[in-house]
Amino acid sequence: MSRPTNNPNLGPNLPPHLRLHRDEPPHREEARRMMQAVLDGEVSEDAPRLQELLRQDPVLSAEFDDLQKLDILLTQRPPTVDLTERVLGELQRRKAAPQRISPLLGGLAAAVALGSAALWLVVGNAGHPAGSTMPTLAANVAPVPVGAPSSSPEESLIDDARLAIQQTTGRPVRGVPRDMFTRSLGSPSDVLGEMDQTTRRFVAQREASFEPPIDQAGRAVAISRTGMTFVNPGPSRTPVAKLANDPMLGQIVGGSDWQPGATRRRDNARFLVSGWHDSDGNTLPGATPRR
Amino acid sequence: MQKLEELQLVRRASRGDLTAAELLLRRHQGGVHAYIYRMCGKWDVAEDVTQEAFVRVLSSLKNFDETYRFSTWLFTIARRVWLNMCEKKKPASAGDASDSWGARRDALEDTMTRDHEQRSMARDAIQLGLMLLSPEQREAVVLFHQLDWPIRLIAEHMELPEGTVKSHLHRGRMRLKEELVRGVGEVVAIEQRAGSVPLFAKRALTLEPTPRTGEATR
Repeated sequence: MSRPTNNPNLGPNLPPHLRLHRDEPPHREEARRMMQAVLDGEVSEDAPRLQELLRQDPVLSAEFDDLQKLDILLTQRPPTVDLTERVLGELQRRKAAPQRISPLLGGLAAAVALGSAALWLVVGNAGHPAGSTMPTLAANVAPVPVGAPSSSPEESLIDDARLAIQQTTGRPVRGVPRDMFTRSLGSPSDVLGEMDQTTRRFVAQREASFEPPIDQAGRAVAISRTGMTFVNPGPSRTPVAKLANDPMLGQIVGGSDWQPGATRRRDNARFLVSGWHDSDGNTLPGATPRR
Repeated sequence: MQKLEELQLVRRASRGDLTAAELLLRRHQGGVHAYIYRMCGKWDVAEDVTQEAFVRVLSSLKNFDETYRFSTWLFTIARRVWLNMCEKKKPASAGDASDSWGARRDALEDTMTRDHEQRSMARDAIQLGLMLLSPEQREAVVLFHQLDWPIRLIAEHMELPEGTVKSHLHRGRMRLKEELVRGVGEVVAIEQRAGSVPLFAKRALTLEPTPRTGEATR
């Protein structure tokens, strides 16, 4: 039974077996399920019940024939491309380009080291590709505020801090004793705030090679706190109490639960330095060099 | 390529062996490109996404978890690159199907370069039909039929239960068949008025596969 149509483009131009159908007998639903199962590779097309239905109903038989032809048609791939040179060339080009530092590690540690900025880190759901073994947030963050700077993540964090400072300020960076800017975690303000003004200035000056003193250059600011905001890190996750209560993590937006390492995807995050406060209280974009 | 052989290539490539990287690239680029092209209907976008996916994968092979197949990882990244690109550019490829077959064909042709082969692809009936499916239906159909993936793997890739994937696949097939019928009717009428009938339309009328390589369509 052909589907009635008012479209003059349909019907007369088409072979009867290609026309659409409605008001069908009930056995067709069963037959269509079996046809799909055949195309899924789950049932043989020689299944007796299907054969019987097809024999009884020429419309179904034509439909099955069409679906099988469609199956063949669908195996047709577009012409192949050869991107080998493009990809290998791009790989070489990116290798030669200067590597960007991690905004999380660099930015966070820069705030600690400089002691001079209110820093916001926004966690975006950068996606964690299947099979990847990228480090989790906990591995990145935990070494910053806690204990002596002896772990290798912390070493690299501090190295990143130097790079971040250089990148942010445009100034070269010299070494500084690491214990100058690491603090045991007690309260949010302890993360940065317990350095007194002199220490803060000294550390920042040493670390960023600033001369004259930072205050005179208008760069030093009072430390408020370092906070991070979690933005939609993934659905259906259970909050991790240890992280949720960690003042270093700052605000966790309601409903955006996050659990490191729980799955092999979406449990890592991209951190972006979204802004700084300068000594006059102005908010500067994270990418703005603080010269 | 067997999993073990592929794993050895991945290990060699991660140690900087360019020959191994090239072998991986040659082995998988066609599949990735076909997947993205069939999903978005844009040749240049498919090339860009394929390139970016390979660059990302080959430059982070050290992060590859060997318990998974390389191809699974690669396709996941390609999919993510494409989705990110869709989010940034909000292209017409994300499934805002015009209901007019002719208009969709014209839109597709407009996105192509003047290269003859690519123009002929724009007239690929299957591509036109695929673009009228929902993105989920299209992805299930493409992965199952074009890339010969089992439903279990498709479900993992699409992050959906197997039953849902089957539902998309079944509906996608039926709709594609119906759209081919409807669309071919439209195009035939339009082209008849213009004095020509595209070869793809003639083929699709009988659901006859077109050759793989480009050829004149009029």
